[in-house]
Amino acid sequence: MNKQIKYIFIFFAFLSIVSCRKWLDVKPEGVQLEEDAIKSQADLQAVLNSIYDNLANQYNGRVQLFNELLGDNMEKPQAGFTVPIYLRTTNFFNSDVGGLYSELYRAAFRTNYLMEKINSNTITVDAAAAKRMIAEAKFLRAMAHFELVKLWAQPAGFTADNSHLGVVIRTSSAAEPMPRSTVAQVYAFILNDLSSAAADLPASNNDFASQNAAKALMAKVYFQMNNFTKTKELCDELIPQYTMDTTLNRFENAATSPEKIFSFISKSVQDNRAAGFIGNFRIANASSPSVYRLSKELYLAATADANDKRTSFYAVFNAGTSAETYGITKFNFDFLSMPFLYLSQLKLMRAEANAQLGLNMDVAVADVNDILTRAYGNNTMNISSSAGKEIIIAEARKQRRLEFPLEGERVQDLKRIGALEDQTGSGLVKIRGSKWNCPGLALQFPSTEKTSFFVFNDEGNCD
Amino acid sequence: MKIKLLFLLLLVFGLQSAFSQTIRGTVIDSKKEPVIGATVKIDGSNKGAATDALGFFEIKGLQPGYYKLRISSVGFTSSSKEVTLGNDNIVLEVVLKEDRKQMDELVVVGYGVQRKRDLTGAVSKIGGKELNDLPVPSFEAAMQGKAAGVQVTVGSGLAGSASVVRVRGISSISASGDPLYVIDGIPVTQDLFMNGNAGGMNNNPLSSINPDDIESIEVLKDAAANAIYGSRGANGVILITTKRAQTKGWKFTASAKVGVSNPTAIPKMLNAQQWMQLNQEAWENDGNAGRAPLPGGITYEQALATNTNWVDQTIQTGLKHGYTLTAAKGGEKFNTQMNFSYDDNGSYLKGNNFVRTTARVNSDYQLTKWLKLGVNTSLSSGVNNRVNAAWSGGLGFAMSEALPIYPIKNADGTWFRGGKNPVRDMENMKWRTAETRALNGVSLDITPVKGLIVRGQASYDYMNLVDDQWSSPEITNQNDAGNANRNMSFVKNFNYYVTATYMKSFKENHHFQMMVGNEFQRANTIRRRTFASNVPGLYSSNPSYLVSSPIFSDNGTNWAFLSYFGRFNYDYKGKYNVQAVYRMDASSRFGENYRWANFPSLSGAWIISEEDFLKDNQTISFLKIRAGWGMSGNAAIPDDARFGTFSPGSNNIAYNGQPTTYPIKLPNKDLRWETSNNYDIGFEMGFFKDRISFELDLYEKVTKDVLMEIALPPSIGMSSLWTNVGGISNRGIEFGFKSKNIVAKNFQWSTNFNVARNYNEITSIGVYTEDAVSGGTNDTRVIVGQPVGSNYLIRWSHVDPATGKPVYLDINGNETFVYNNKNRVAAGKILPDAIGGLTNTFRYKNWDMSVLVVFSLGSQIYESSQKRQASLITNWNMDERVFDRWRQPGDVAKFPRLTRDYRTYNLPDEWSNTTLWLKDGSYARLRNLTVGYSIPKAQCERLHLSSCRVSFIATNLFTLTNYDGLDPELSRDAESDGSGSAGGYNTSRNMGSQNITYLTPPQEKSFLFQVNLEF
Repeated sequence: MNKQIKYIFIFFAFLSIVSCRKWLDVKPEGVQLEEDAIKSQADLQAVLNSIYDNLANQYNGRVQLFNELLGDNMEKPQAGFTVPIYLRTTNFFNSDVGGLYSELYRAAFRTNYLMEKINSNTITVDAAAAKRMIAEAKFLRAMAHFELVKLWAQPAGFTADNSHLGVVIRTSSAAEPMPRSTVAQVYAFILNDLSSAAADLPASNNDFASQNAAKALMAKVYFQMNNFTKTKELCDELIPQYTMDTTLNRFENAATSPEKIFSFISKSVQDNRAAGFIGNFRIANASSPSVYRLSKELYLAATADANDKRTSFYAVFNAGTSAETYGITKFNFDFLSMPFLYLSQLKLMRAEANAQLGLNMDVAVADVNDILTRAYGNNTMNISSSAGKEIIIAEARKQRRLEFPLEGERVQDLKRIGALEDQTGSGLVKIRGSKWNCPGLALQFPSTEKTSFFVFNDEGNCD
Repeated sequence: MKIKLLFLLLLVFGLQSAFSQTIRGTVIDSKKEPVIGATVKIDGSNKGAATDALGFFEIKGLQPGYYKLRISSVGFTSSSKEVTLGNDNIVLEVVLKEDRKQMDELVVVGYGVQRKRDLTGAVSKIGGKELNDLPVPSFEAAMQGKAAGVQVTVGSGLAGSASVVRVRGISSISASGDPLYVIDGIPVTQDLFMNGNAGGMNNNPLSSINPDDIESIEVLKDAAANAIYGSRGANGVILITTKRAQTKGWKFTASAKVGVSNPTAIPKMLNAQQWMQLNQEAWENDGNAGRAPLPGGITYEQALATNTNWVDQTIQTGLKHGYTLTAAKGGEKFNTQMNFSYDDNGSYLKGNNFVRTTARVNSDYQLTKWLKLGVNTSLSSGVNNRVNAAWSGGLGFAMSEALPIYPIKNADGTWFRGGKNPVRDMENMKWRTAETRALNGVSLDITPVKGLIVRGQASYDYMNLVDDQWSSPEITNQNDAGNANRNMSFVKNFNYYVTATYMKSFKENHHFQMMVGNEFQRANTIRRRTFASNVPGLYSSNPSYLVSSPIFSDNGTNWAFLSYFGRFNYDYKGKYNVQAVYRMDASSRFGENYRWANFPSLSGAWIISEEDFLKDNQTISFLKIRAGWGMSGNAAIPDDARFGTFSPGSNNIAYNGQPTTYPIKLPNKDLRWETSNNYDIGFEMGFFKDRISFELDLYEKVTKDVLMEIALPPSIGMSSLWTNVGGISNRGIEFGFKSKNIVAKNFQWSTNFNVARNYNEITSIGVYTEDAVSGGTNDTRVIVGQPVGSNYLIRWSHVDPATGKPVYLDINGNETFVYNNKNRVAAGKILPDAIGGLTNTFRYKNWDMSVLVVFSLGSQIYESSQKRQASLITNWNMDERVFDRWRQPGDVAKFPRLTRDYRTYNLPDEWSNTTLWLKDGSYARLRNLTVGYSIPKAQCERLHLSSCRVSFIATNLFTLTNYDGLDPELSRDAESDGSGSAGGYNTSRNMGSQNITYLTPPQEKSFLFQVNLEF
């Protein structure tokens, strides 16, 4: 019997031994877990680099194309999911629209993850680097939210207090579905991020975001909100620090231009941060139109004056036939850096801001004339130094269209102008035949965004 | 804790003290198996005892003298024994004769057995004999129609394909909805997606199990029964017990079968002339003139001269043959059973067969009176000579992209390459999937003291899956011998369990049984692949090329479960049974914040027929009410679901020359099991000595924390997350009926019928909405208030007689020509309302006949592939149903005007997801007809045989259905959601493998002749 009791002990001892929880400590093979991937300051820097990489891939022409398709610079695409963007009839199954939306929030997710990780103090990071990385993350988070609110919501000024729905504000990496915030809240959030970034970013940060980049983006945000005082204030601070480039095609030297405040940098054909522009608009030979084509309206506007050197960027195909179509040669390169914030933008924003405010009209005229002088190679087409508010504003807006074609500015300019000058949507300001505030001019959210509390945009209803 | 328990147990033993003489002995049945719980009573005294798990009893404290012992046990005829006790103890062996009442059969319940009459939970038992005769692609298909509430949708016509098995509906969405399969105590590897979805089929790991090895299958349906399997029991547990020697001495059996198979239905595709005529009509409908363009670079004249029947080119009459040999030896101390089988299961698809070769040895050795050693070992090889089917080719192409105007070969003898050519593919590609599987277990049963059995079992389930493919230069377009590639998966699945079971009776009427146990299981999957060019055939035929081929590693996975469990049973007077079960599970799959899962269960039964007022009732021989509550879980999710992952260390993505790292998958520290609360009430009735019996169960299963791989709102910034978010309810009723209708000397007729009704409903998906979890191209979605696998479609109204254009219904039910996905509604369901089976067995003298009819009522079939087979002319062939189409104003037709432009129907592309493709999925089919003849014993003996039988077996002879497609019993391949994880496949399987067809090959109709011999 003793022997048998021994057996019982052996078995029950076995039961106790196997309670070892280490036996459950099994992990997937061949993948990187957080503990493998994020161990040092350098790893955190690599996460930050990935956010630049992600946004560079959205601003490579994709973000700009969607903006332009909604506006009046493009011809209707041949086929695919970009057609409904042009028709302003996007729905929740549009994978192109959903794709861009997802990617912009993917960037926001990474910024939040990075900031949370730095703030958790689980990894040793020197204080200066932590401050810089958080500031860069905020700059990039603001950039993503700014694009989202412009494309997926009606513009600032659509309602007097901007209480209309904007987009979801993401300040955390938590996987929590959230409702949309109002446009007022989204803009306040963006400006808060940019203020914070401007305070903490270094004056110079190689090709990454600097203090001036945050301020320049803030100027663009204020300009989009028709806040001319703030626009002017920021432009006044920044413009003296840069000089006008003589090169007409700013894509050619976006990495080195004296105008550059912030560009997405390309290093090679394999590392091409203008791949969308080149893929969409490159003209392989004179007889074959690019994948996407320009509207006749833009072509005519841009080529109306042969003395404008910028007319050389434009091409016509099948001229004189029913299949006549238009292209642009600015992107006939193998790879290009992508200019995001630069002096010419500031000049034309300040010109309108000053004119709107009725302040420093000479500065406003000079800003417009800097652009015109470069475009024509001389000052023959400059506006008069005594030009009034209307002339300055009209010329500044015209030059914005001619100076920044296909950079996604045009439709947002028209929306901004609509909110400023046609608040009731009377039809005074139209975008390619439709009222500036018609529902379809805001893209539809992807179907998977749908929760019990998420309100979708109205669809269509644009003429 | 465990040490304390031990001392308590020992204390109880210590109280047993000895007096004078003792009568001890063993009560066994005619098979020498111990009779558990038999009462041994001394006439005229209050002394007595009950037998333990080994059939042992002991009555102490007896004075010398004459005694009459009365031995009784439920299920056995009572017996008496007279003994005279002298000065020595007496040792007896009492053999009880079985009183064959079906209520008394033993049922495997997980870590033990119970008599059916004592069960407090819902368990269905299927005997091995009911499984063995059916020619099925895999053993699980043979369960169809045999157990109430167990829905089996047999796999497609592909050899070795997997069935969809659902026990009492389904309570999972992204986790596997399949039951847990446990073979001889081993939860076996049952990953259907080890090979992804290839060729229109998921690999079936159960197909290499030999049905002839199976002694019985028990299905644990409610939590009273399956809570003992804790976090893996919620979708039911299927316990498979393999055969062991049962009779004394050697016994040999042999069987051989041979037969043929054909499809249950043959697609009626258009011939070349018909297709061209319709193509022309569409061309003209679209406002064009002249000859319609033809695809594939075919000229009009060539098309007229060609008429390839691609269906004929891809199907055949399949040949089947199989052989089994069994040797069994039973003895006092040692018994063993050895099975060997070879089965070549040819399907009706050209080039497709599944060859299974298995060997099994099950042995038991009674080393000492208190120690028994058991060994189970089996080795099987399943070689599937694969062909492409469904969306991937073969018959699927014959039903779609292989147009009848395409020739097989060009005039110059070269293969036609202008369009799909399944014959060219078949002749120039080889595909072989070989699975080697070893299932081994060693067990020790120790009886250290009376009433206590300690059982330990260790097992190792090894699986090696090698998928070989080869393409000839005709396919690769390279100037060499061809390309070979091989994908390999190795699964090492180790588990052990230890249980201690103690039985004790007090004062004859109080019977207790307590079992405590511990189990651990760990599995590791390793994946490798290799490929090479200039190989003249499959690697399996050219192993020398493997030496020079580089081997690449793919991500492997690991998982582990650690469990403690216990079961307590109390039985008073054989009338009142109470059972309590508790299991704790910890798993590597659970998030850090939820490590241990607890699953209690409480159930009871009242055997009313044992009460005095019914005991001698001539009509009611058995009446029992049982009721139970319990919790069970499901944790069948990908092993890495809870882990967050980052981009690979060398992702080669840099920005501005600087390295990048980024998260690619979210972690979830709160990820845990699904929990089902089960309620069951059952009634079991036997009449006329159980000649007629009924079983009725009412149940409700309320599942919370349903695991979903959610397509996250994109604003979160990551695409998906495994999370416990939903709720599902299953409510139902099951009814079973068994009757021996006629029992005469020369003629017997018995009937076995079961039917089950299940109501399935998704009760919650949290804040998410229907598109958050998708059945993919099956067009099913998760919708609150609807069952799992609801067809979410735009409603089709009719064809406008004036224009021939489709008229849809908008969300409010108003007719519209606009096709808008906003108008999708829950329009149908893949789950049936009722399922069941009816088996009639006849025996006349030496003849026997068995007829099984199965039925499924109330589900819809979504014929997804018909979108391009009717009216919209694409690069697909169509079937003859398209003849019912609109041709001119005023026509009332089923299908709209023919067109070559999807925009005619206001579609965004060539795929219209409407209710036009939703069909009535109800059917009843003659699943099996077996006619056998047992050759008279005298004639057999002349051949030195103890018995011999010949039989003819037919399956799927005919089907009653309203479905206008091929086969209404549908089980298609599960697709990936693109993530490549098992979650995506499971979601697709749960939400669309049943009753969705996408060129799915129909089942087979087979005829077999079989001979069984016994020596």
